[in-house]
Amino acid sequence: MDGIPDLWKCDIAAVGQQLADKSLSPVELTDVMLARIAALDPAVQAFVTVLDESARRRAAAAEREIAAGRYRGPLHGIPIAIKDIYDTKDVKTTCCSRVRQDHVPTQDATVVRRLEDAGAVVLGKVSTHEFAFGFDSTPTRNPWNTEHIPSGSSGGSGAAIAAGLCFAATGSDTGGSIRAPAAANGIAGIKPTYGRVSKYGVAALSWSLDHAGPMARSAKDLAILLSVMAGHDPLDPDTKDVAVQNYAAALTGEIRDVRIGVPSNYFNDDVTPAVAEAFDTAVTHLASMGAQVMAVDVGDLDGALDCMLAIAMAEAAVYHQDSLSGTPDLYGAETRALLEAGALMSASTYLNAQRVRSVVKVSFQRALSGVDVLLTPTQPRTAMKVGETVSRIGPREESVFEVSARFCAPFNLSGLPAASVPCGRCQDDLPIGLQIIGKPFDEAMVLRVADAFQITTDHHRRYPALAG
Amino acid sequence: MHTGEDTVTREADAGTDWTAVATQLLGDVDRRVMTAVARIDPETPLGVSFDAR
Repeated sequence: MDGIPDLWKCDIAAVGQQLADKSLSPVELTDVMLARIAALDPAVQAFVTVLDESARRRAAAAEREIAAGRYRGPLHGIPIAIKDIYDTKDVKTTCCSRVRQDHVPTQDATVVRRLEDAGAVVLGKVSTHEFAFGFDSTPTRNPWNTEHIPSGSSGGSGAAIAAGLCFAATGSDTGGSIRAPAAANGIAGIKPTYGRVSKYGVAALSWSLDHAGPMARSAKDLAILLSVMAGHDPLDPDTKDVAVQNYAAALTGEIRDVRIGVPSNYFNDDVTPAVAEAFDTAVTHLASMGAQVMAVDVGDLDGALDCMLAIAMAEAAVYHQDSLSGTPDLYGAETRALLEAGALMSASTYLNAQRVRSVVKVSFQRALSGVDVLLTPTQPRTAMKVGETVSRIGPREESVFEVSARFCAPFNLSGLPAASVPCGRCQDDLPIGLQIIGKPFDEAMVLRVADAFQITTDHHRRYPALAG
Repeated sequence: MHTGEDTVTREADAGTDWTAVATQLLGDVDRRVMTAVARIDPETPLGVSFDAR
């Protein structure tokens, strides 16, 4: 760690270049990251399992391949982490639950296989809220301030990247679980279009709302990761056989011809002053780069969060029905109560929630008909304190679940691609996220706007003091 | 590193009555979905594809 102290601050594109030109060894890089995990993870608690032996073995293999001229591409030799709901062959996949504390899959999730085929070095498994059904990801802490949660459910992924313990991680998003921790930890994450990335081998929370996607430090890195992760998978019937765009080529840094819609309703409601100011500044910045910014009506979203909850609770209850009836005591109290409540959800409520969902989907199609992307704050506030159960913004009181999903869940209902990149910080230095939403299967445009924002701002070049 | 055990311990320590929270949530979600569906066109179909291909 001493010889290359700032290597962890680099993004994949920069480190990958050094690996490609052989000025940096994958073994050396992996050792740096494993040393950082040993030194810093006791405070962050992002890792559930550290795979030091297999990581070093894979890094050594990468070194041999690169030396022999068999460079696989920008992920070759890059240390990453896998959310512990993704199956990993011969490695425990616990979903951070006693229900699966000894579960060892016999094969990899499709995404894990694709990342490893691209040469990525898996450092270990990172934490999730139990079965991805929540937003605090206990006991993982936010590296910016360990008295705060990292959000979730991909809280381990977000915290590990922010603390410089890995260069990227997988996430999953049912009501905001990639974007909320991306915002809370000051990193980037994208929930791709529903059907863009395979969920085969990823524990389900809600079949019709779940999305798998990457988290990293920059939009450039998301483009590299998504290029590998995206694509039709015959093992996942939800994936669509739609050509994968060239995401890297889309990052032109140019947004003069891009039309940006800012919703005139819903996403302005009950946000903290710091979030409102950071969002307005971000919009003004993008306009100053030549984007056309206009107000758009996104329709009535007042029931969106509840429809997401109704669908998620009912589908999760069905997914868990066998183990919930067989070993209920193995679930955490919160998860068990939510699943039992979901089992009592009436069919008419579930079906009505799906009907409202179809209206929400049409409303966003209309809103996007005259623009290329929508912009909103990712979260109404910054990360809550550990143990805090009620969020208060002005007169509005909400649970952690409600405040975390309020601005994200509409895009799980619609299935639209949505990314979060850091756009500021509040008075106590906690990061704030900017959400960028695109048309179906147009992740390239979402990443183009995100990248243009990042190459002209430095929010993603800030690091928590804990990271060193 | 940690295991699922920590999650369970933390919840117990927090003293939250999660059954009460979930029961309240179930009632609230049910009521709010009914409110939301009352605002949409009553002829709105399910919107889920049953493509036979």
